[in-house]
Amino acid sequence: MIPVDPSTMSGLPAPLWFILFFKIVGFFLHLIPMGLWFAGLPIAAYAAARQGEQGRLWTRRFLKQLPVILALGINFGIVPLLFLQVAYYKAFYTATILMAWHWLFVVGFVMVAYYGVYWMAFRSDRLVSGSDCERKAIIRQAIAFSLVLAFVGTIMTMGLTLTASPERWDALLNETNVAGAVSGWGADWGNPSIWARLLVTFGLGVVTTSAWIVCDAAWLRGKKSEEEDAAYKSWAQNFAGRTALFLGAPLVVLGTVFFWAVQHPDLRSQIMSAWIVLPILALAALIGSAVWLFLNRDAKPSGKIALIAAGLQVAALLLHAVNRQLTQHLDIGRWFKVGAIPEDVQWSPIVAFLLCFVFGLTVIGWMIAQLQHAKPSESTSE
Amino acid sequence: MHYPWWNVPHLTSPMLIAIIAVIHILVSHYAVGGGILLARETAAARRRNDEVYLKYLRSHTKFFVLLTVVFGAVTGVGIWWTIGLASPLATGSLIRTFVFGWGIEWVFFIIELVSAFIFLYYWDRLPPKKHVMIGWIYAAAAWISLVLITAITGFMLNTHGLLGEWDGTGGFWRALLNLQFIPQTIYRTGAALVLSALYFYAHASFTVKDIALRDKVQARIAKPAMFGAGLLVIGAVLWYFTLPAAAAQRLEAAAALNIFAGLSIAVTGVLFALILLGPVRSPGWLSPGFTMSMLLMGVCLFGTTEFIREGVRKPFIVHNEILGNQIHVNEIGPAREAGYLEYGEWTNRYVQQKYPEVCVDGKIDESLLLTLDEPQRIDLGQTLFMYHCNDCHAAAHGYSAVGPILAGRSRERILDDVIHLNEANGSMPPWCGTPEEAELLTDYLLTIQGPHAWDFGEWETVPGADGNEDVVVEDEGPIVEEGPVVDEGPVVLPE
Repeated sequence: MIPVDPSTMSGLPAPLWFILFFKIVGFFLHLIPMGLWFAGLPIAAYAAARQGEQGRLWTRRFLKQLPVILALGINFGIVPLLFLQVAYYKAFYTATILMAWHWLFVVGFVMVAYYGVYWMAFRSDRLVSGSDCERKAIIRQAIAFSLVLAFVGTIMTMGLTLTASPERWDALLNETNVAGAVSGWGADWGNPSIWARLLVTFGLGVVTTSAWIVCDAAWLRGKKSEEEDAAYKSWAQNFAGRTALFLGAPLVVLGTVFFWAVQHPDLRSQIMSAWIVLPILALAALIGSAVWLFLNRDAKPSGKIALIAAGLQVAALLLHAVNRQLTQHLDIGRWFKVGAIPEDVQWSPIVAFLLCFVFGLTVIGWMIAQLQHAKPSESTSE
Repeated sequence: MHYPWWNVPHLTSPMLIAIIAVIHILVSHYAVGGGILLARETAAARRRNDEVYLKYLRSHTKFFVLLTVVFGAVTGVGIWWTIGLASPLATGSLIRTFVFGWGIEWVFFIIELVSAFIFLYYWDRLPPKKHVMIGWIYAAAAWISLVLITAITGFMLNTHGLLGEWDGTGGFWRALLNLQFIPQTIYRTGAALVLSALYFYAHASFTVKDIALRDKVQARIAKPAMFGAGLLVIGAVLWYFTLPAAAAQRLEAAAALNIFAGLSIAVTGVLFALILLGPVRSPGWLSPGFTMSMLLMGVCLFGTTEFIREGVRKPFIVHNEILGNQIHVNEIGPAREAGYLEYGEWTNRYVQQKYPEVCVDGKIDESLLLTLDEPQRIDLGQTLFMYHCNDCHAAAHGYSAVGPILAGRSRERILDDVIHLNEANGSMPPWCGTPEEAELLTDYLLTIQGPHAWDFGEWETVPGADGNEDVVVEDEGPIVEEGPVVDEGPVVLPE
């Protein structure tokens, strides 16, 4: 067994429960936009290619929203990564160093994807009013940038999986050894957990996107003519329902079963004895959202349908975030006793942070509230 | 030591931090200063109902958001990414100490993001006063995020605090309110305004065809630019006077740092003069070529000052706490006692796996290290180099490469240098290993050292010194004191 002892640095700056709580909150917030770009972009490419005019209308809207979604998602991702490094620094830094170059490439690829998303946003009107050639070009770009973002997701998943897999470190060290240092070209492609996690994450993203399509149609899209609205909303509900049930839910179920199958027996038994109800509830909420959307795919569009779908999906994501954290804690805990790190709580900085957090929410809330007084957009696009 | 060392040939992994960091600050300072300028100018334009100027500001905001929100944010994350890879112990330590500072900074990042998007996308859709207010919210949030990160970089340079000494165990406020905090904040605020002005000049010179508008942009931005230059100078002076004594000494001792310091002062002066002569007195000067030259000078200024800031901090990553080679100062003694290879988790692992013959009862027996064959000793010497030296030095060729530094030195001299590492050069950490490990490292260093590029011939060595036994020193007898020198008057040359 490879020991991963806590080092002799100063103690945890906050109680462990506090750190893990904000890690969960941050990860949950990150999951929403992350699901939208990870699964939503390829779905948008498909919708533009195969779903006729309504599909192109939605894709145009989605591409215009994507820069903001990406910006928020990246920023929300800071929180879990920060608290991960507070608590699990020993495992995290070691794992990422072993795959250093891949980890670093994430920065470059995110940059490419980010500017790609802006590029598509600026050109998205051509999906509706452009030539066939221009439409196909944007669809190809959407597919290309989806692949870039998928690569980013794969590397992130690999890094976090390797964080909890010290049993694989020696092999990577030996493969990439430079007189005891490492070249940074280690990669754990053969770890089945990575692919299981990606399946689950992608499936979650599909259902999140489906819920987003319906909510966006119900609340965010400006009012057009009655006829246009009805046609668009009907398409949105129908498309979202089918996508969620036939693509999203099966992927999550498959990924969960796969993940379960490849886990260590002791981790499985720990999860079974401790909180098996959590992943079951998460799965139930997700399937519930998908089924709800599907059952209402041809119903008269209404805000209630969107609200319930969104509520169930939010619950699914929140439960998944909690479950993910607990699993990670147990998984890393096989090697690294976070609980053994003494606490050296910084109370006044915690208070300062919480005050700033509330202040920040207030300011952001105020700014968003001002949008109610905004004049409608003069643009012909959605 | 505590983490595997990431070897990046020729460049060294910490240099990746430097590259990404310099790129980042060129945009992040614009994110701060540009936000202030945009808020100020938008407010002024709206007060005067200057639609032409507002149209320009809107186009500049689009450019601004595209650059700062995307490139600035991602490179900022990129620094964070890289420091965890190249400097994990320091990063973990800083995160432990400042996690809530970073948490607060994150809150302001989100405010910046939301306000930037609203400022741009609702330009003509919000009531003017509300729009301007959101611009100022952005500016304030951006500046606060600058203040917070500056406090952390200031702490890395000088852990002595305004509230008293940092005791090395958390102490968030003492760490945050360090001696470098205010000087660096003033400097960076000034630098943000100056750099942003240069971005404005460049953007206007390329995109604005209307000469009157271009001149207006340049004239209006000149005042905050001059103000920024003033802050920059004040901040730099205060920065110097709040350096730890060792860092100030390093600044004077190192030729490269001298030159860069001189260069940064000169470039600041030139920029100041150019802004005065150009935008202030003759706005029409600012053609695209001229503005790009000024921007390039600004880039050089930033690059050199960042190099200086990093350079004077050596051998520390965190002043008085963590050395550049990822060892805490409290660990120097234990590492010397146990052996660097034994003490380091990853060096230990490597030796145990590859050279079990030098391990006794699960520990590395230092006395057996020198019994290894020469190739094995060189290999372990390379391991020591990786974990002790490679954070600052490439090996045979590359960034601050050791090979050329050791050119022509004898084995004994190199060994002496290793054992007395920080005595000849204050930028170097103390040697943290055993005498046996010093021998191993020396064995390795001899394989990468180059010959002297200049052949000194008969003057190559001092007779009798450095173990040169072939040169015979003739005994010329005892030294006779010749008494005081008498002035015999001026020398008269024959005609």
